Amino acid sequence: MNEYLQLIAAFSGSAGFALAYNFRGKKHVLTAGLGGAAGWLCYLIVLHASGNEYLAGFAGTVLCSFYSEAAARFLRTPATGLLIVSSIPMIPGASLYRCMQHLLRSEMELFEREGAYTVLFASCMAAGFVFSGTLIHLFRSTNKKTE
Amino acid sequence: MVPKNNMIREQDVKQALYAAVAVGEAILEYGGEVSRVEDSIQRICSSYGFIRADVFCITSTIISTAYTKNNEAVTQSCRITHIGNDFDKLGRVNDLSRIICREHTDPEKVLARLKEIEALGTAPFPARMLIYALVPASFTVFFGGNLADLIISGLIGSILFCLESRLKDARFNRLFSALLCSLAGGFLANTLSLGINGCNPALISIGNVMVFIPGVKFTNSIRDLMTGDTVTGLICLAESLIMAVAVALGFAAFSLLFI
Repeated sequence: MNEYLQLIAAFSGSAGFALAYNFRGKKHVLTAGLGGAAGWLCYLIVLHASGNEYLAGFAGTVLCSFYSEAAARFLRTPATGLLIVSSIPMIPGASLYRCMQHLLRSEMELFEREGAYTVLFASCMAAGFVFSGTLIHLFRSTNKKTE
Repeated sequence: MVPKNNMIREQDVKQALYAAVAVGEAILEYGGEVSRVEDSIQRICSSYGFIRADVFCITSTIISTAYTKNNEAVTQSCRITHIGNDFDKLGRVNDLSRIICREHTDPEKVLARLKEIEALGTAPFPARMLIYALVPASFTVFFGGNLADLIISGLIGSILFCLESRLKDARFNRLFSALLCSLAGGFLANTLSLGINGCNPALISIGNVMVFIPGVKFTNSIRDLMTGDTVTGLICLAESLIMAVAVALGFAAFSLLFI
């Protein structure tokens, strides 16, 4: 139940950010929202299958990248915006916040733990962006050559 | 139309590079990546008939040097002070840059088109208030909040949006304005949930934190470090960490005092 709610919230959260970043047109906003939910679904599935949050973050980001690239082709917009917005539910904003909160309360042990998690998780997401970005670039350049 | 590989007067050369840099500036200011800026300027320059263009871009500066067929070099730089996120305008500028590459559009027309894009509006204020209620409300539920949390979180989101746009109009320092908004957010989350049963101020805060915390910037800065845009990555990393401290300080101040 909790996870279904999370999926809906991921959808509306991503769609909300899409609106805040001035996406034009219902189609764009809905696509961005769906991307957010799809990314979070992928995160949850991999998390349950492997029990590893970092791997789940990586997989979710890779899915978001391919989704945004495909949707961007379809909607004829740059993929960047879609990618940023659809990966927002996974972005470790909450743990970045908790980490700084621990620092301010000088709870050093908790700060270290939360800080390490934040940096590692963000790095896994960044690795996901780079990995899929490279693959997409590869596809594109081979496509151009064959044309 | 600028005929390809046929630029004669020095003035045209300067104007052409100026237009290319202006397109790059617009891309950066509307939230495009640094690599996209460098790529676009290079492509536009080559479509205007420059034989080579060297572009270096970080989040605060664009420097580009273009070489004409006679091996004359023109250099222009551009200082960026504000970066926002407006993907409607970003898409339009991106289309413009593609059109320039295809049709070698006259530089003056490019500048006029950029002005047109800049003048495009955003959603009306009440609509934006609703949008900024939707985001924190969603994330409060996302992290496990109930219906009462959702309503209060959305309400606070709207209030904070009004406060933030006031501060932006008054050209407040960005860091200080985030601190003020977070202080107000933490205060409201704790006081509004006082009288209501089953309300969790921590969840209400975290929903609103998601709007202010630079999580996207933090993650993207690590991506920049991985892809080799090291300077940009370090700048964004430092900025996002400082901003995160300010936001955490603001939201936590209230609970630090009372718990």
